[in-house]
Amino acid sequence: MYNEKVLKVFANPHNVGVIENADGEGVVGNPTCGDIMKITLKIENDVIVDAKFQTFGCTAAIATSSTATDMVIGKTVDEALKITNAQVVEELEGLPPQKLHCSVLAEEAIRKAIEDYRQKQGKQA
Amino acid sequence: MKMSTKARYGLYACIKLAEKYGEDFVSTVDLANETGVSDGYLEQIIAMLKKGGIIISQRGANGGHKLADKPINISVGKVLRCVEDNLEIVDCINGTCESKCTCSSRGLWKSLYDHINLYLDGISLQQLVNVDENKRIYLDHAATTPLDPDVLRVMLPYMTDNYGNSHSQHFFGRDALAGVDRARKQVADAIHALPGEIYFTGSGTEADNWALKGIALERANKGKHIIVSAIEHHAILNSAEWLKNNGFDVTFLPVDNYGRVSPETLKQAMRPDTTLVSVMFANNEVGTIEPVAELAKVVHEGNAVFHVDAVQAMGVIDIDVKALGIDMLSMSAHKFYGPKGVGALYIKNGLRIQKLIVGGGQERSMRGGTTNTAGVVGMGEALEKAVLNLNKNNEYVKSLRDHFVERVTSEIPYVRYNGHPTERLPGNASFSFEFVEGESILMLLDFAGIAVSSSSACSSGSLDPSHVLMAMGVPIEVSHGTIRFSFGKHNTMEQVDYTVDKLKEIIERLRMMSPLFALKEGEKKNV
Repeated sequence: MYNEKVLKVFANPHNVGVIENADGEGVVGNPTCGDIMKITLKIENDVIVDAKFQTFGCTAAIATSSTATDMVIGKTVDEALKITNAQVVEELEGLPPQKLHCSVLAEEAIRKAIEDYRQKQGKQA
Repeated sequence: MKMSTKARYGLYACIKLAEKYGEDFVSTVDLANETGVSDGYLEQIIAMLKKGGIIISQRGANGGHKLADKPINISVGKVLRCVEDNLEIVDCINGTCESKCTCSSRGLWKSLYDHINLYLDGISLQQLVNVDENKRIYLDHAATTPLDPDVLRVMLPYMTDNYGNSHSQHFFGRDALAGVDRARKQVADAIHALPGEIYFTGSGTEADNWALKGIALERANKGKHIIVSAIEHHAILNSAEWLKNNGFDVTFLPVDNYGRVSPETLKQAMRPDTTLVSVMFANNEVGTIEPVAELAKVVHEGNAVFHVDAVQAMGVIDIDVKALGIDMLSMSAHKFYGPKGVGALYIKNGLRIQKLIVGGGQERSMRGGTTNTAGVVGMGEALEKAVLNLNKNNEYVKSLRDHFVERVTSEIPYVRYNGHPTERLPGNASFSFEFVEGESILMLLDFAGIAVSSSSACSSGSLDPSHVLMAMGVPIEVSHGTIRFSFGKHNTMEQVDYTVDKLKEIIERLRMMSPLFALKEGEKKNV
């Protein structure tokens, strides 16, 4: 039911792990639903220079985590906020309909991590 | 009769291309090196394969050859026929012999020729790519089993030569009927019933539907309450739901942590208007065996009908319907090395039931539809063989399972062995791996060439966790990491060890990705 691209990304996901002293951190989902995604970002001058993820979830959840983190690296936070779940799905060349919620999770995790970064910035300023 | 070298090299070249399917074009030189066939000869063969539409070629620097379709879609028969012109074994098949109208042996040659083609067309290039046993390990026997070649041999004539409708009165029909009668006796003998108590169906699911709806409707004037266990297969649960939507009252019996229904609980659930109780013999997800004889007693004390879904137990447990007090029993042939698409319902003599599928007068006017002769014959043969070798096979399969369970529980931390420790099917091992999700485990095992099944919500399409695990009180977050391993008679100890080795790597790898595991490890450090 998964396409080759999704399986390829799932087999060798990028950006697995946690950034120590991250500038932004976002955790979404919960264990009862079977999906948890944690994304940490390293941000310099509003540009995301590194992103890592930890995910408890299915093939689609892990593949979207990898792709979404790949997509935000090198982008400004404003650009990253514009990334939609549909774009993540497009990058993966499609997901089965019942798995689309996984891509929403990735979008939310990134948004949360950026919000966290902005809050921290606000405090510092 | 001998295959030419052209045919053998042609097939070999195709297998090499199948191994590289999805990659770049393979040059003639590389292909020649890999197959050990000279460039020139290979070019000739490739030209034929190209003409036959099996491979496509491209000229130029990055040129070469590749398969025109997925290896699974290309049969060995197609390749051989393309290179070998034809697979004729004697000249007369295409009518080049003058005595064709009178020769009585021509039918034999024609039939042999058909069998050769049938056999070769049944094997895809994909199957030959994975001939390494350790690269394709099937641990999903609870889902379905491979058809036993002995069974296939008995079935084949009923698809080709004895093609009569078992309901026809002429000799074609009588030949087919003889096969069906024999199968009915084989199935009846296996459960200590009479042939007249066996009704063939199109699946175990149909048998379950028929049993529930047929009895509930037949007895509706006596009462409209039925009882099923909470861990039944969806064939039962959804039939019960259907009855519920049609004015019946349904009780879903709870189970204990092992997945067992207690006779005491059943007793309390019985009501004067209870007409039917359905409890499975053994559970498909966790393998737990139910106390069928004790439950039967309670059902009969309440004057209700007792139906047992024995789809998972058939061919593994010696079932005596009379001794156990079973009134109706469902089974499915493909779970005991028989063919798919055929099931049966045992209905005790004298028990009145409404029909589910109406049509012609088949199955003594109880189930319409032309009898699937070959399927039914295969079911009888498969069941007879399974019962004959029951103890031997069980002992062997159990030794594999026990070794697997022993290694998994001692070598992988944070695992939960689901189901009853002893009262369970010999081939079933259900494990929940904490902090990881079942479908991810399933896919990584799949990459390693190991086929298993997941009870996790994520792989089923719906997002609901397994109703069986929930009924057994497995915590929902743990249930997500559940994998069912079901062993069969063709598995080996080497395969079991290889699976544990791979499984260890996979669980560790997924846990390294899991924020839940990181949390758990953090807690440990802080203690």
